[in-house]
Amino acid sequence: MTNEIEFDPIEFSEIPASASVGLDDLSEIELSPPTQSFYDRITEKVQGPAVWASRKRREVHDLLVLSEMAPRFHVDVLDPRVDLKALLRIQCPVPCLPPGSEGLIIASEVVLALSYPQEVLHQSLPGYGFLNILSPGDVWLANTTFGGPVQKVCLGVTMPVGIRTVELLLAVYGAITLQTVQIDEEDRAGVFNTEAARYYQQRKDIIPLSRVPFLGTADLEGATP
Amino acid sequence: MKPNPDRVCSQIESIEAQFGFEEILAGPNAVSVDPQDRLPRFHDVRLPVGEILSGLSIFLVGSGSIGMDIAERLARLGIKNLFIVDGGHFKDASLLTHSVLPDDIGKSKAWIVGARCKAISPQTRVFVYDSAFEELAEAAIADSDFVFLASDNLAVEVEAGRRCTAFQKPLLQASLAGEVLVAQVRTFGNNGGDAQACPACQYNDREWELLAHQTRYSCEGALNEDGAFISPSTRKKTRDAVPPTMSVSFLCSMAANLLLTGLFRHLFIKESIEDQVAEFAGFTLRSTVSPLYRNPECRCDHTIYERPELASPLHKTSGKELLLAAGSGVDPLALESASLTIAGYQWAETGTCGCSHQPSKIRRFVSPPLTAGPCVACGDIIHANPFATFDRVPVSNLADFLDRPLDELGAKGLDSVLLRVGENVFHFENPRTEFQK
Repeated sequence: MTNEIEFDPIEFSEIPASASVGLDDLSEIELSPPTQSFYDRITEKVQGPAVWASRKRREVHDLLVLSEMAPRFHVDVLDPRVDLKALLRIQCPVPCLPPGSEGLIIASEVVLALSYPQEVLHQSLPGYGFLNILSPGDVWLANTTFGGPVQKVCLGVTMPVGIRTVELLLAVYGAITLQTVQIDEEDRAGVFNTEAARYYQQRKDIIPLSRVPFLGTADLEGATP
Repeated sequence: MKPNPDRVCSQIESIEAQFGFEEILAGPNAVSVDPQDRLPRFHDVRLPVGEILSGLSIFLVGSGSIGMDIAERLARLGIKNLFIVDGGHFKDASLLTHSVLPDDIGKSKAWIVGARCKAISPQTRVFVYDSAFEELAEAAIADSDFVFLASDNLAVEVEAGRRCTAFQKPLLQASLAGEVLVAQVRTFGNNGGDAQACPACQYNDREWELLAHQTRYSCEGALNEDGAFISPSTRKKTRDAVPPTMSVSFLCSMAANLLLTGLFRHLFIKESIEDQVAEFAGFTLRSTVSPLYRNPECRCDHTIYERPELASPLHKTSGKELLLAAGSGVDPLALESASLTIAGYQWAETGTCGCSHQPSKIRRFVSPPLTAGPCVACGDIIHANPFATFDRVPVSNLADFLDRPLDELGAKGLDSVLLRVGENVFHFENPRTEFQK
């Protein structure tokens, strides 16, 4: 891949996870110096009309702030040149059902590819158009496609015009950990994986896989109760 | 020549045309009438009215209760080309507001209206597209003289406004408010400059919310008949939650007539098309005209496309030739500010397959379902990596291939290419045929 913009690992800032900060406040929060330096470097390459370029800068900033606030969330690669693209990692329980396995295998981390196009500013885009799971394979959820090395995630039938990247991120966290579920294959929203939907209808006892909120740390390795 | 699918209207014959349109053919009982037979001598108009009308190309989005009246009246004027876009079908309740008969219920609006127009005016070339306007290539409006919009769907309104701004096409929109007996026509001149308004310039937060509410995509709609994922670039809306027009048929006709009267004023009294709204209020029998203004905070892209001409077909043109035709250099600095969009294709840098999830180089344009042949190691299909796959590819990614024609990079059968260099956008089409000229 050419022109990939690697994101150097950063130190978490001093902002405590319990801080009372809402999504609307993210743009007011300053980045730590190394992250700010990374932000400055990659946003130099931003292209497009002024309104879109400005929006991408804000989205990049908010993603980086969130990565400093949430120990479970990492931004690996960002490419804001044309559409905003990102490789993101979230530590959370991820249900997988590899071929031949007897039951669910719970992975501890998901790698996601985010595609955030300019049309988001003035169109309501499909809920399955933003995020793909690159790893682990064989993720077993009603709202992800199954099979093949890339799995699409559907986040809903209607998405607000101008939805923000951090909202997408929280939505996908909820979907993967089964904190938000849609397992009715007869529902108008539909499902990607009917078998998985039926599986979870029979296994409501394991829903949700985690009750820890996105900014929480109780489920992370080394966390103190 | 081929009959169209039974699900549409099996008795209408058509041929395929550009951009996915079907051209409706005249039936065996076609009656040709000279449209000038009933044209009055308009007072103080010295222009050749019939000649101007017979040269008009109109692009109509929406052929429902208002749009079908517009279409039929245009056919009665004997215009040259009529493009009709509507993905809807007539319902039982359409009998209340549309000029349809029970036999038309369940059939495609675009096809029924198109067939009627062709029957009324066999000399008019009638093209229909029975799917969502947003799925149509942007360039489809490029050769029309005017775009008429007769749709309640906010997403369609926004997209029509953006495309008309980009191609500098006058946009005339007819709508109504049934409960207050108001017929309304908004016009957007798209005459160039920074001050031109678009339909979304007047939107408030509530209208943006309504737009999202009207647009629904279900998971099933994301998979094709084989169960494969449809790329977001070819995504299909599975349903629009747009409420039906609540009105009375005469108000629909009033809106259609108001729009066509505005067209006549422009064509024959030489009134320029301003950004304005003209309203007729039935309860008071009064009409008002108010200006529309550009909202500097508008979320829509108001970029105007430049349209340089090419000597070679698009698929035989290289990235370097496109840059030069756009007046851009090919130095690294220029490449850093440029991006390329080819409708129906995405540039894939890398992919993965079943055997190892290590990236394999693809580095060419791929079309949905975004796969790139079998892996040499395991024979499984390589899937493009979504992170390294671009709808709009930064031209710096193509730096190693700038001298190669686009078809050698995987992009074949092209209708249009969009090149953005800095703040400027260039829309390239194939060289025009003699017929198009």
